[in-house]
Amino acid sequence: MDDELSVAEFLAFTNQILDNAFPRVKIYGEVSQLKFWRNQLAFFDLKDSEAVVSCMIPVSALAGIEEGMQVVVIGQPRITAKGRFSISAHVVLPKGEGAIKKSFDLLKAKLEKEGLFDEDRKRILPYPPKTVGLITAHDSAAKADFVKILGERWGGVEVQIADVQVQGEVAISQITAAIEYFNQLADLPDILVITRGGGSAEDLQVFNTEPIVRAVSASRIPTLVAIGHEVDLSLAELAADRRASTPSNAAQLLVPDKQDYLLNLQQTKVRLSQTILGVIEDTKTAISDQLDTLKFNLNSQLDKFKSKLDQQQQIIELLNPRLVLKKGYAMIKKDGKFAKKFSEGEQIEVVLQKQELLATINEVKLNNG
Amino acid sequence: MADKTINELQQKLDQIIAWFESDDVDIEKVTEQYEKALKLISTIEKQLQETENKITKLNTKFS
Repeated sequence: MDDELSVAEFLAFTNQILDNAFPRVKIYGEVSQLKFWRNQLAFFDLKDSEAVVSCMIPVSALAGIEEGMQVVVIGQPRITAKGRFSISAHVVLPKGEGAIKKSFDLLKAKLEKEGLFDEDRKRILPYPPKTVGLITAHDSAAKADFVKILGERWGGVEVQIADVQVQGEVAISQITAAIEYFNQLADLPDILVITRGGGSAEDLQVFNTEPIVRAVSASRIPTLVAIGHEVDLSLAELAADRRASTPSNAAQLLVPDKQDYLLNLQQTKVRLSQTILGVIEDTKTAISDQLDTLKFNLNSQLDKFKSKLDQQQQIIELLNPRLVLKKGYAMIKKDGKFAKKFSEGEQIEVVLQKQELLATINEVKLNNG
Repeated sequence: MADKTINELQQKLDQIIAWFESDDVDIEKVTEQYEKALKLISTIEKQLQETENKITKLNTKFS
């Protein structure tokens, strides 16, 4: 190359060659000399017993990392405008069990302080949902288990699958992008399910990275995160509205069991028929009560009538002519009829209380009365 | 009723159950409401047994 280049041109040219040669490098080592610039960028040295390389990364991508920690830096090699060779890092992941645990604790404490795991932020998931955004690896056992259990338990749910990698640093950007994708749809799904099966601590590490935890926490759509593991919960699960232990468990929590539901419907049927019988019984009782009242009223009217009749009977009794006969008076009939005037020689009947006499009038005298 | 979701049918059924449990149950309407409830229950049962989930894979690449 004989052309003369300016310094800037030379560096740009070199960076282009570096880009082509190393679009992405993964380097492991120990973090040292960690410094921050305006809370935006972090600079540190990555070293081992024989060499050192400078690295820079946005502060937001460095959560849970501190000096002395063993890490894997993923990024691109570059020469800065000041001629310094440096790794422009996209992701820094802790390496080895100790570092992973330490990084987890640091990030957990930080996000906890910000309130990302607060219980009062948790939303209630629609039950059962009509639409689900499923973020998982399409060809995984996790997806197969989830779909199988969902189908066994319930019907009519629309599941859209965002096919993503669920481990390795690519997973971080893919899962974050998938969460964002569902959140910008005009018709939001009812629930986002983010799931994968079990794996080693390093496999599950992506679910403890700040971008994913923040994306889960910021989702407008309620989230259910299910990472198959047995020990600690991942930070993504802590930030989710609901968590499940496995992909199958996620499907179980998401929808009712149709067998239980059918049984419940049968019980409703029985309960309704009991209610309807109760209503009929109540109506019968009400009618019978009304009938009793009616009977009572009728009887009391009858009693009143009877007692009036008794009184009238007594009055009539007093007027009975037989009562007069009882006192020794007599009534006189002529030709079977009561008469007031008689002549001598006429045949008469004298009616006494207990006798009737046939007599002939011997003499008629006139009374002055 | 076939175009209604199970959720919607269940809501209608819940309304009828609430009516039965309320104080102003009208004897004139009891049979009609009961029959409505039975019809809803059998539609839900049928839909539950016949409807399958719809699973689609998005074509979008995420990165």
